[in-house]
Amino acid sequence: MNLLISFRSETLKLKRTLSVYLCIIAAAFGPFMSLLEVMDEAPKMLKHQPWIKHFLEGREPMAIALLPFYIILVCTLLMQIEYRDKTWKQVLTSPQKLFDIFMAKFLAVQTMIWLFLLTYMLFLGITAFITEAVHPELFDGPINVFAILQNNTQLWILGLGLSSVQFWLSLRFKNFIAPLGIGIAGWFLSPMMLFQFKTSIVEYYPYAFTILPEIPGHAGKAITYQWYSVITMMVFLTIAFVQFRTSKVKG
Amino acid sequence: MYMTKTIIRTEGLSYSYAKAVQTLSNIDLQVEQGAVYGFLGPNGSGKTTTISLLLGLLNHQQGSIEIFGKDFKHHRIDVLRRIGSLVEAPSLYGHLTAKENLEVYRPVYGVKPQRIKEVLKIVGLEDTGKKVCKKFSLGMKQRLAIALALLPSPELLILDEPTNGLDPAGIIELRQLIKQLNKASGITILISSHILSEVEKMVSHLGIIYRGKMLFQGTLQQLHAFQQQDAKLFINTSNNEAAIQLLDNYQPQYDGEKLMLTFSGIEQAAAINRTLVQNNLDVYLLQPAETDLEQLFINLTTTAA
Repeated sequence: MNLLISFRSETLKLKRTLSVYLCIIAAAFGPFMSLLEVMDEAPKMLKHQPWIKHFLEGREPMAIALLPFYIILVCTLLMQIEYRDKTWKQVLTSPQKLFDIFMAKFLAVQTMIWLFLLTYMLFLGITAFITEAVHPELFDGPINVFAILQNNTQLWILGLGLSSVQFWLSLRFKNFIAPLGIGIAGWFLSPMMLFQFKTSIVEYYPYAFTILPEIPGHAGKAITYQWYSVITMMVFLTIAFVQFRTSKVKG
Repeated sequence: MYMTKTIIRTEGLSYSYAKAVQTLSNIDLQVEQGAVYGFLGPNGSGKTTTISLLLGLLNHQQGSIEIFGKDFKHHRIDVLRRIGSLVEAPSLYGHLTAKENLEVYRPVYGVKPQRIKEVLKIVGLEDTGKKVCKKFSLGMKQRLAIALALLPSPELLILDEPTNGLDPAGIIELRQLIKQLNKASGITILISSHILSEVEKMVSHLGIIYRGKMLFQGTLQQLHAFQQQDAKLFINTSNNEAAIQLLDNYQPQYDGEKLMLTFSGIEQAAAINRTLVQNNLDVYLLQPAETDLEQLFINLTTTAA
């Protein structure tokens, strides 16, 4: 109950923030860019189960770039709300358990990630309707909502590891640049580890978890990467909470 | 057994940010129920550190903190539920309106939505509408921060330098508000400041801290009595050299052309006058020095340096 109250308080703070605008703009970018391509090549592309194909093909740019970047940005932006306005003192002198404050923030991050995934799907749907208006012969099959949700859930679980690392960094560094810089550098290291160094360590690298199932040769291990992601989340959330609780100066 | 209920009690509170520097040493703070306690000291004397310890913003190192008769460490949530606070600058979300800022904390304190209107009215911000806080003046922000502190209908209000950035009219308004809150609602208030004159007119008790040590703690009357102990008397006579010999017990000293000595009350001043007159000296000047509390505050904090 107390955690829910703290969570509600966190979500209220998101109103009119860059995180919300970013969620909409970033989610719209991919589908509308691909719309131009699809409009040209649609007749050749979507033959069998066109709806599900359309939604699943939208997963690749999401998993490789959009989602990791969004997670890096949203973790930083969400924590910056407190640092920018120097509001930590008020939060920490209000009657909330430190664990509730901490978890409510992490849940707010996860809510924003889900909101992003669903908005992305919404825009994919809109682009599908536009395509259908131009090419009515397409998209006459059923929409498999379950498969779409399953796909999103898998992406979200794969992103848990990365979001907990970035959450920890954003909580640890008061400035905006450090967690953002580390996050972007961390993401760039994933393709280098995969294609340049060809190291198997990449399979344990949180910034690569969302990317790996999209890479030939790794696709079959999606469930394993989801487990790695959950374990990473547990480890980094524990570290982050211990540091949050024991920090000498709060606020 | 204590005659009045003690709301805040610290014993031997000590804190250091770095090993070599002791920021607070053995602070024994005692704030009684219903008091307006002025916590005074120059910048960097340890006021904010003490307040941060009271509110759990710093992990305390030595000594004990008891608020509402409960050990703070073990009853943090219970204690914080009954406290309203403003530590240094106003803690407000710039992208939210006044109402939205209060709504963020309303469910946390478990108060009814109506309370938001009430506190905004108390601080005179009920008509700010959709204006977001980053567009507020500093005075408005400060008032909203006080509204936030009042939101839980606190039994104890802790205000750290609440007059910072306020214009003279704002300071007077705040002073009236604090008096009203204390009188009408019986809220115990701890207010810190580095300027005595700002709080002198509203406090019932004072604590003076300097370089992490408490120099004085007591009621305003006790401070006035303390002030009397160190009062100065200026004298000018027809023969000051002879007056020095006559008043040798008081250890008079020249202060320009007149003499200055320490005295402890108006009766003593009369006795000095009598001595001078009985010894055929004409008394041109017999004047107690104007030592207001501000001067005493400066004297206390500079003497301790």
